[in-house]
Amino acid sequence: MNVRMLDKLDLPSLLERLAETRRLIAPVVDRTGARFAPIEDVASVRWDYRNTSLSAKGIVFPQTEPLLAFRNGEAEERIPETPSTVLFGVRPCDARSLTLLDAVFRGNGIDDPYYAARRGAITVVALACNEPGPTCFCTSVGGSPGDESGADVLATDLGGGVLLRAVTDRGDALLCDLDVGRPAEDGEIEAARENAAQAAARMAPVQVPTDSSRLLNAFGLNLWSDVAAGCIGCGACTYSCPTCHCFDITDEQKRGTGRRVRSWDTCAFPLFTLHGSGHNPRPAADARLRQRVLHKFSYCPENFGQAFCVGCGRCVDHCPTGIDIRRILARLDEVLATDSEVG
Amino acid sequence: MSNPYVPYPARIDRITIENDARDLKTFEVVFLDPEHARLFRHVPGQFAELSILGTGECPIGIASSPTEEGSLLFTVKKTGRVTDDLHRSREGRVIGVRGPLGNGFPMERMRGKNLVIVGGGFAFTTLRALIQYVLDEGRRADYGDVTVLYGARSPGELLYKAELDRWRTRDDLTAHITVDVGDDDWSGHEGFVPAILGDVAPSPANAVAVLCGPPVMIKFTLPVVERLGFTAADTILSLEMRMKCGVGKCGRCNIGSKYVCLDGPVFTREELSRLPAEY
Amino acid sequence: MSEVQDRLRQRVAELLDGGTIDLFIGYASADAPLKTAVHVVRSSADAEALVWDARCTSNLAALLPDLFKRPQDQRDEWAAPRVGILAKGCVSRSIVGLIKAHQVPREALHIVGVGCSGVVDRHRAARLVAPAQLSKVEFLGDGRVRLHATDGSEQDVDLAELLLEGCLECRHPNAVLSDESIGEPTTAADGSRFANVKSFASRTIDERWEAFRQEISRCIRCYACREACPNCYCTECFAEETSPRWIGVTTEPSDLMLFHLGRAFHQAGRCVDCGACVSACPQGIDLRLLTQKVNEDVESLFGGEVGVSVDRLEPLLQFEMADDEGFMTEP
Repeated sequence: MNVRMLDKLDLPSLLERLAETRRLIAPVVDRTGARFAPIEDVASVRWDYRNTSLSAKGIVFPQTEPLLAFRNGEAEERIPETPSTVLFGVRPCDARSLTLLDAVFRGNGIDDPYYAARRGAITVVALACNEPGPTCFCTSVGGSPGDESGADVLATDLGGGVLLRAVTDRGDALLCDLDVGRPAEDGEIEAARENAAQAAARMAPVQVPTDSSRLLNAFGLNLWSDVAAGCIGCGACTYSCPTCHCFDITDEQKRGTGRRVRSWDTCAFPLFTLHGSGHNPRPAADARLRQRVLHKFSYCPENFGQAFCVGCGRCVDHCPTGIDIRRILARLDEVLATDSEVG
Repeated sequence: MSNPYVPYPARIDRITIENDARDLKTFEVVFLDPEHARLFRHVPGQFAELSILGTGECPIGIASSPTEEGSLLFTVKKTGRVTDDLHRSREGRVIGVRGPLGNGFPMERMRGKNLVIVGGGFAFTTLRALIQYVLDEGRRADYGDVTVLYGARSPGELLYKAELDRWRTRDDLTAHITVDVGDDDWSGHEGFVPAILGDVAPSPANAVAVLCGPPVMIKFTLPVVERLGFTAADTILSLEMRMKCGVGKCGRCNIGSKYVCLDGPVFTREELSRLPAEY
Repeated sequence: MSEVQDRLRQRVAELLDGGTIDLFIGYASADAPLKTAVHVVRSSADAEALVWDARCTSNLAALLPDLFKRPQDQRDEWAAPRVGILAKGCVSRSIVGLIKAHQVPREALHIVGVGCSGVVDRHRAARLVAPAQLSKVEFLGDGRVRLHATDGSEQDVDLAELLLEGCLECRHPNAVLSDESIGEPTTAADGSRFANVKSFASRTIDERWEAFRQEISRCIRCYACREACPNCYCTECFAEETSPRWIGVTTEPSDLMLFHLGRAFHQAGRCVDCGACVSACPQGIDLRLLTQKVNEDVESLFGGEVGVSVDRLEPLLQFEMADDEGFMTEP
């Protein structure tokens, strides 16, 4: 597999060539902060950002996605036409989240064709982190600032140059196709590894309960109403999360023409589990917050073998009332460790 | 692989109003494309998403047995936007059907066993599929004694009155029909399902109990089933949950590590005991 | 600030131990720059975690309506809790609104008033260090703040540069309704009222439409704005009604614009410009643009200010025979 070194000054022309031959999606910065956008003017690409306000999941799982179009009672599927795309500069946490979303949307023997179309079209060039953000905790959930999972190419900013390491055949093909930079030297490869290791060392560790079946015992604990006391039931955590994937399906129509769309949804909304009869299995915020935490750290590990959290910290940044999943996890870990009655 | 979100068009051939309140209707639907009909191989206990383009979808248990070929039966209660729209249908209307979905009753496991089938209210629909399947000429010998206990609020609220009459006359099935409050013409049982079950007291020996009903009926019937000696592994229930995609992706029906649309809606009591109690 | 904070902790512990209240709603520190967490205190030992400073952005009144709803599974054994709450000016005005709307019973509340000199807008602070992120914030005293960023940079700014825009024009920094107060009253801000509306209105209609469309296009329908707002206590929001479906659930322009316009209009006569919605929005959308326009119109049409008097009903909850009915015949 190729490992190449690109002079920083040559980065704009690489981006130009990507934008010419493919659809390029990369970070830009505006009033919202950093976000991913399709790039027309490569000068708008910001390589020096920390992380985006929302995750990269919207690229493969958009907030609003038409599923079917219908007219006069006949429906047609609307699979998105996705040109060959390069997702450039995504952080390792977000790249890793794509593998988790793959397990949901492409697993269980049922391939979601809309997700598959978008996902299959992208080549992921991830950008390793040289420093952690204030709320980052990827190292506590099986990730790292230099993690390669989900990436086709992993880039590291070494100051004067950018190291680009092919992780998959697809990534290797991209580097060859564009004949990027020159072969990297051992010292440069080592420097990239060092960078990531140092960033990891500077990240504050978080106590995370890793025994998913023992964590299930936390279901009946009293601490949930305390932990959820400030939860106002919005979707800020869910929608900014790279791995949250619940969705709603609604129909829209006007005089016989219309469509069926899916849109993001969240277990944090009271309406999520409300039955037509008025019965709600999760009637209050404590049950809903418990669902969110246990789904990520107990149920999904049971089904997919990994916690559905990549430690990006966005939920901590965005929660309007300061609910902090790191504190919740640490508290759960303590209670489960000390409470002999619990499992 | 076909797109799991695309419904197949089916024509409503017949609409039967099941109850006096007229809020329960059975729709007999036939796929427009015989190939879709051929591909739709379901097991009793499974459900389908009924689709009305422009309004939405609703998950409805399949009330007909796969042995009743040529059409599918769905009994729908009018409760919300989609079911309202469905209830306003006329025969001949084309709707969409997505399925079959869910896991169905464990027919293999039930072979050679006595079956105690207990249903309440309009949750009886998939039990009709189960009973018709078991009674099918080619299959009856695979199962032991079949005891059916079905209860509704009043005689007018009973579903499938024609089938109930036929079942009562058969000698390869014992049917106990009960209503909370009878009328002058009523000659069956009078009393709540849990109480009648206690009176009938079917033996748990080599038997499996299958329960479908509203939460309140389940709540009071389960202790009776337990008292009669049925094990948790031999007590089978069907859960109702809010659903959307029906294929285990959207997360709405998630309980614990299970998806009611994928791993259910049929669960044994033992499986349920290992799930968080939020349903 | 820290004297007030110490006194607050002491007082809340006393109120709990003395049985005056069952719980107290306030703020606690959070492990993220410029953030605080909503902190519900039920035992006096937990009062130690309470803080009061310029990071206290949430409108705590938003938590009140749910506390007075009888839970599904409890009938006779449920009694309304006695709730203590820390109220800066805007929070107390929201409480006044909730009392008048019969969402919270006055007698169940113990309001601890506190004077506020303004709270920070984390989006404003983020913009000063973007594309890096804030790693640490130090309040240096004398109204100066040091921002540390993840790229290693540091900058010192005036606190005034970080405040929510609404705080710059706040005329009610002290609680308008309270059972007791902590600390000295604060003087009102002197920023020109409705400054953002006046500036926006000076643009052409096409410029305004484009600016609105762009601003609102970032919305992801997370409803953080709605949930953070004390006025949005409806059990079923118009945005989620299915029969009829007033608006769709998507993030396409018409759905976004209708949601926000609808929400802004529903605030008429009720919004106290606390800025909680702006703080809550993960996308940093300037929601005040719409609500302040509605507020300005309500004030000029009907007079008076929102949420300052428990006795005066809000303009849209009352009528007078002399009210202009021209809108019916000459829209």
